[in-house]
Amino acid sequence: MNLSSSKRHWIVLFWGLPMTLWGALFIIAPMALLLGYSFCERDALGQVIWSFTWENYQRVFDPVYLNVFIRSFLFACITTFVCLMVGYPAAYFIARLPKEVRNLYLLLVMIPFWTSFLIRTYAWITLLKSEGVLNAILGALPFSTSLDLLYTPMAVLIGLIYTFLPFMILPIYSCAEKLDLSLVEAGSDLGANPFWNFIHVILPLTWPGIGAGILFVFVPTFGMFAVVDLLGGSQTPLIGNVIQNQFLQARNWPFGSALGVILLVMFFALYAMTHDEEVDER
Amino acid sequence: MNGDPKEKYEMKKSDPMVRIQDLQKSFGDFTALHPLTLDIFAGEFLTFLGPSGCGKTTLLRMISGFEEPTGGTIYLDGVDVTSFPPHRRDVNQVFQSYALFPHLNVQENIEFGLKMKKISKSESKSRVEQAIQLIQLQGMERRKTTELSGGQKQRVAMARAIVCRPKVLLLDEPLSALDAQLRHQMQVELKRIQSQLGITFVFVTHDQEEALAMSDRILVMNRGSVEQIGTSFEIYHQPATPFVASFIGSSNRMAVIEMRSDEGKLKVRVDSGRWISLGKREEPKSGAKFILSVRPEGIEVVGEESKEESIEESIEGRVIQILFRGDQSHLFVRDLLGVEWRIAQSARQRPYRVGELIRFTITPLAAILIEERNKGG
Repeated sequence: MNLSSSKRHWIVLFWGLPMTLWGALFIIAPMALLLGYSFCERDALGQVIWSFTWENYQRVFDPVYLNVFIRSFLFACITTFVCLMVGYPAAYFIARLPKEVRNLYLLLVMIPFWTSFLIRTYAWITLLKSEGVLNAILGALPFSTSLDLLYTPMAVLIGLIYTFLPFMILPIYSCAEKLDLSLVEAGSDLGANPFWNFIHVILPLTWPGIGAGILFVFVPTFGMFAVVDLLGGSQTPLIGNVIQNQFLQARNWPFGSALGVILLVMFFALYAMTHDEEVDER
Repeated sequence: MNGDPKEKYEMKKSDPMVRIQDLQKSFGDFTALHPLTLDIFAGEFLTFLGPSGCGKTTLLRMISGFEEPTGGTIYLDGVDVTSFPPHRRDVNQVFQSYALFPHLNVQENIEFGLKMKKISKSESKSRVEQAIQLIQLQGMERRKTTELSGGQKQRVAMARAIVCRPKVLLLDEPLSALDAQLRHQMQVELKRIQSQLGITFVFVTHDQEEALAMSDRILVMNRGSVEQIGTSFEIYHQPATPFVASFIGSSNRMAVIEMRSDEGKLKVRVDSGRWISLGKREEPKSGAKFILSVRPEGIEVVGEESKEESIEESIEGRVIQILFRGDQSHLFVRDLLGVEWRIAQSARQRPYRVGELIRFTITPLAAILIEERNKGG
């Protein structure tokens, strides 16, 4: 069937309409609101006063908040790095399994999604607390030690890595699964030992999966507040906790919005940077 | 079973480039390759020919090192390489899917092997230039491999393998993805490249026409065993087994049920009951079962004018179908006993029509007796 381009245009509009409306209503509108609030002031009761001020953005550069930003960045980096180191071999291994077993392993990766994320995080409290499962096991050992992990930065990292590991594994898996094995064979045929074959053939060909995985882990980790709240107590607030606080406890919506906007801009920049690199390589 | 290799290999027979000894491979209960012993000589163009699943690719992959043999030894230029991983073997492969690296451009693809072998920059540069010239890829160096046509990809894959100067170049059905015209062109090109470089080529294909056209020697395989090894001429004109006769070209095949020798002239009775004289030749040892095989071009249509001389030996039949092939036509003729014959007719002969009654004779020298064996190998 040969459709005129204008007719095709209308068809695309028609089928794309629900998604467009959804996006406009729940993504564009809240973001516009956020951007608007971030330039406003608030009154003593926490009501947003429509006016224009840069004050909220100036406050972001207060050392207190800068430190939180830096700490969040560090936590996100560590989480992403560990997820990559653990997730890449796992994803590659699963992708190379025979087809029947592969789906089983993939299921094992995805099973955590079947339980509420909050319940799983509470489960970590049971595991990590002083009289919890981990210490019970450690105490039963001959050299009987104990670890006080709960409400430490370490606990936060464990929780973050646990939560976001599947988001690293899945995109890398989908990339590694499509990897043409004859390319790996060609590399080895042309004299590349397993290490150089990995560096020169496998890694570049699975790079899109790695990039997606990094984005999927880094971005939500940066803004995460629930895991930090539950496993870190109030010892190590990250930027997500600060934003949550501004909206719920401090009732300073404009400042919370400004922090949110800064975070958004950072992610866009990060995406543009990784995207640019891809274009340059071509 | 071993056909005499061409004279040019006689001298090199003492030290083959590849010596395969009792090589075998099974996957669980399935035997992909029965014990095989084979010498591949330096500079030779050897083809593994057979239907899919005959073990030819498995054999090739054992030489390249991607498949581990269940038993036996592979010597490459006198060195036992059986336990060597692929990257330590001095052989290169042209893959069926070409396997060009999509993240590298044409030049980077060709350089890959030299980079891995830590060849110096200047040496590498001149070798790549040479290969690009030989394979006629000038001006394509910066192209992405995904932008190339099938024939161009084929050339890049060739160039990438030959810059490494392998002792043996292994080609796994490299032409199967190309269309007919390009395939014929690449056949000629491959022969040219091989004779120019003098590298030993081991070529895998299921296309008998391709094998006959290009090879110095052909190894015909079926169900994991060798059926015959010999030159194209031998494989075509002296098939050693019924399988070779049926797989290579087309042939009329009949089971022989009786033989009689008359003053040195051999006559055989085939399953349709007809007696066919095969001219002066020795009667083969009895006790074995034989098949009579005649190529379509070994049968001659007798013109009306020569009726009287050869009428005694000739067979009468009706043309039921004609396949026009340009340089010749194949007539399908059903004789009075109901047996179907395939007869080649050169383009210069008078064209026949379907339904026409014709007489034909079998050229005695073109009829071959093939001993039927119970199992292959």
